[in-house]
Amino acid sequence: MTSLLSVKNLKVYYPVKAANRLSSRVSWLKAVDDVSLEVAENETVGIVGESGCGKSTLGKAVVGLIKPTEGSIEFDGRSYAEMSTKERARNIQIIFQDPYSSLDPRMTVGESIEEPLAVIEGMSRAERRRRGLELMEEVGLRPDQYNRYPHEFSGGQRQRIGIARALATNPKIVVCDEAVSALDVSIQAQILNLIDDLQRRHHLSFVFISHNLSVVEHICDKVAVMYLGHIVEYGDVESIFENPQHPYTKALLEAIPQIKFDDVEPVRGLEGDVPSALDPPSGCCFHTRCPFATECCSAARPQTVQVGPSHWCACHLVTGDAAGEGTPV
Amino acid sequence: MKEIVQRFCRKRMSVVAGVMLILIIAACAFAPLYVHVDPLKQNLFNTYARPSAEHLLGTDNLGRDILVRLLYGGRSSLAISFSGVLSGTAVGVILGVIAGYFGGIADTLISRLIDVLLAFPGLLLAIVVVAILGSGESNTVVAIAIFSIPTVARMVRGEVLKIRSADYIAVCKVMGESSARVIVRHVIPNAISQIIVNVTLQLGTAILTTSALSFLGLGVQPPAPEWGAMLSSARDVLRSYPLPAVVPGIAITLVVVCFSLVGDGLRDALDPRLKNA
Repeated sequence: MTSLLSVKNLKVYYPVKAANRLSSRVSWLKAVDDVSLEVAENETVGIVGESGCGKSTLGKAVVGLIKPTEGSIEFDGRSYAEMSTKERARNIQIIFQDPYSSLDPRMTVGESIEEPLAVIEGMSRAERRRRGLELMEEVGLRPDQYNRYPHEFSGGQRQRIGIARALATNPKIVVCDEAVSALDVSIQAQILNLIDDLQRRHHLSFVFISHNLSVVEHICDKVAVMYLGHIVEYGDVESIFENPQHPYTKALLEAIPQIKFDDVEPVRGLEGDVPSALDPPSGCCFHTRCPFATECCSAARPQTVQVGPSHWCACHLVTGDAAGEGTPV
Repeated sequence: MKEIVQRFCRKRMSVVAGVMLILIIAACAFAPLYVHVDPLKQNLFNTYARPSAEHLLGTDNLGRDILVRLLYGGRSSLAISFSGVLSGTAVGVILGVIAGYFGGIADTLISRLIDVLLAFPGLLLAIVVVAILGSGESNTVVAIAIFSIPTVARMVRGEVLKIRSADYIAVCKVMGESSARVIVRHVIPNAISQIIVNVTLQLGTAILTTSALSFLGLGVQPPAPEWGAMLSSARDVLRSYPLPAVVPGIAITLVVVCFSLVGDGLRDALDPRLKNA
């Protein structure tokens, strides 16, 4: 499969002013540090990690909300720099986490859904209305709700409105930034099924950002595990969940709550807190919390090596297998 | 919309105040249509007349009908306050939106300007403006406008900062929507209720300031009728014949209190935080 979206060595640094006003030294918060990622057509790539690991920043960079400090993002072989905003927005859309903040409370559902059509496509009012109603039907809203305001809807319905708006211009890629995290579990399932459905019908690609591993396992084809702005492990959803290589991924998977009554093992989990992204640890960024850390972990940054047919990991303790030893991604 | 009206109606005091305001404004605004007495017409043989059928509220020191002057005076007090507050709000909203939406150096400059304006006590600021521009109706309007700019601008800036951080604005940015369109379609509609409440509350203060300026002889010049000016000319005889001073005084108080009550009612009716309560 050729990749539709490719993120190459993306770095997003935020300048942070020194606490001392007199010194002009500016330090950088490395929200995303040297991340590469490929998304193929009709594929769902999950991005998982703790709060503050840079997954949302990555998502925002993909939709063009944040300018990368370094590196490039290409859509269909063309970098964002050579695309117009409209062209990019037509193909890449986003669904936000909080369905209460992602809809303008002063706009009717119809107006919200049709806004991209007006702004990006410059469609006439009648055309917009026709397409708007079509979209509402597609995401499971009734046409008589066209003139209602967002506060008349529940969280799940609002998220449907957000999805309809994201799909308005027939995008190729939709970034879901924690799109179901704010919903009740039963509603989460409905929205996930809707996303699944839409993918099948329109051959959409999704970048699915989440901290909920069970959801990711359910919906994604590929998973990237992020820690402190780096992707530490990347691969097919089966290989990651069945055969995790990186110690951080293992810890994350162990922390998934299980319903088991016999031989309950206490969750070991990780000790300590995530280090500050302002002053990330040397070498492997995970070495401060890694139970297996050795001397070399604090000295050098691990290379990303291929550990399976489509499975990569960045850890000194993991060596590549015969399939592709030491192949940097 | 219906909801807002319903919530407003639940506050009885605000409704009463609103009705009263409408009556007062209508009575003053349409005065030339139904009052056929010149408010400037003097009758030196009939000064300080007691209320009678001919002069319902009596006459003042120059024998002018107090009721007629009250109605015409209200016209200029209200007209000056309305135009002052509305133009001040227009400028304040523009400044507030620029400061809040674009941030950076524009925000710093505008915020400092607001600080400077707020550092003066309100009335003093108005007096300074009139002292620089000279007295008169149009200059009073300018003074009221400048007087209301900082409060509006600061309030709008805060509102815009809040709105700007919402995800629906991020969605607009993803689409590459122009800043102008975002401001007109999203930012202003979401700030408008706060702006309306603020205008109402400011109108009360503006009436007070207009009257105070005229009272000091810096606003509307005699013999033109204006509530503050009427108070001023009646204060010499306050002890012997208080009626000419009491009437405009009550009018000012009533209007200010009414604006304040209506503003309060509107704020409660429009406040989204109470929406689900």
